Amino acid sequence: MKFFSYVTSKTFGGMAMPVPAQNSCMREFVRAREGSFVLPVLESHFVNCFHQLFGLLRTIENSQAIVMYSVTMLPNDQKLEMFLEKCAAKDLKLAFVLESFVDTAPYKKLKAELDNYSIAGLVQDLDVFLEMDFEA
Amino acid sequence: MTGSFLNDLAEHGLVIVDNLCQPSFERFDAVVQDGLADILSIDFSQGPVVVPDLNEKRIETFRKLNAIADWDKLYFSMAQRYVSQLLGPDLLIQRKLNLSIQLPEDKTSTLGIHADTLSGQSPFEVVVWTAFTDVFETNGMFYFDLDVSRDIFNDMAIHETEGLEFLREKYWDKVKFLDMKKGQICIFSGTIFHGNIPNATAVPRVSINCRFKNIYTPNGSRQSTDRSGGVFYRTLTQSPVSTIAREYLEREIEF
Repeated sequence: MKFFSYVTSKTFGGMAMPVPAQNSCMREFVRAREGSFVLPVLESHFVNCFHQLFGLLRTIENSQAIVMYSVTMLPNDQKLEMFLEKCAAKDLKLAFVLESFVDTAPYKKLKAELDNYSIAGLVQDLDVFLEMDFEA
Repeated sequence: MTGSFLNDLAEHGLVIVDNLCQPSFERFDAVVQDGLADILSIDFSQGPVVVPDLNEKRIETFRKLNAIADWDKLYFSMAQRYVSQLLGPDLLIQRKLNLSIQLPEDKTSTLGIHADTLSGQSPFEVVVWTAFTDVFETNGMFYFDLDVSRDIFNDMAIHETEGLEFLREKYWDKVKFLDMKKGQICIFSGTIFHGNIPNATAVPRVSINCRFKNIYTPNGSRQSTDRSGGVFYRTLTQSPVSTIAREYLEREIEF
């Protein structure tokens, strides 16, 4: 199977990871699964911009895989729904290095992982809440 | 392009010039010809030829080019007057030369439409792109002028979910292709959209590119941290004023 890779120079999941490092991790991930690594597309730096990711969906062959470093690199809300619909229409697999899994449509595992991050975000929000000074 | 160097660059965002230092070019060309001799001697006129070890040869040649002693000064010498005129005496150079090989009908080596600045490169930098074969039609690089690139940029958000390739197709009637002799140099702004499509000619293309910018250009919030000075660039030249200023700033004094 071919793994079409996707990288970003933006921060994601509270991390800033150099593109070459993302690249190396993905290569190792794909090698361990005896897949064929396809050179990455690099997302544009604009906030909430995913045109390179959507562009990849236009060119990728059916039943292949998209690999990226983390699920936190994905878009949110409606863009995520649209992305997953397009992936399912092409029977694509989605692979994530940090969370270490490969998922297939309807991407239940991916949605569960995103929910995990959402819960983690709530906990972080709670810390901020508890530290707020309501007397001021 | 028939105007002056500066006017052409200002108008198009790209200009083609003659190489200023033939001995430097020959140093690089010797490595290219040696490393890629098997590939460059293939007759592609009868149709596409699959070269199974293309990537290995590409990586090996890339390493040899970057192992040339003082490769940065040699590469700079080929366009020194132009780069200095554009960017001044205090210069950063990208840490590695990039090597590109585009064989006829090879779909695996194409680089889709993009502008370097979209991924966090500085808009203050220029790319110095040198032809190591004749470059023409689809064996080279396509590009859109500054004005068209601005239109594409403004169109990106509403066509986000269709991807940049959609915009390439939309604006394709305004595209231009490089037309260069071996040894010539193309200098362009990273803000213009460019890329390549499968090489439909019977001639392979080999090129090297490297980026330059002034040391004191602002990074700004749009520039990626892994494209900043130190990480992506290293110092190439420094003016005497910069040397004096840096020494002054390093002085420590307490009263």
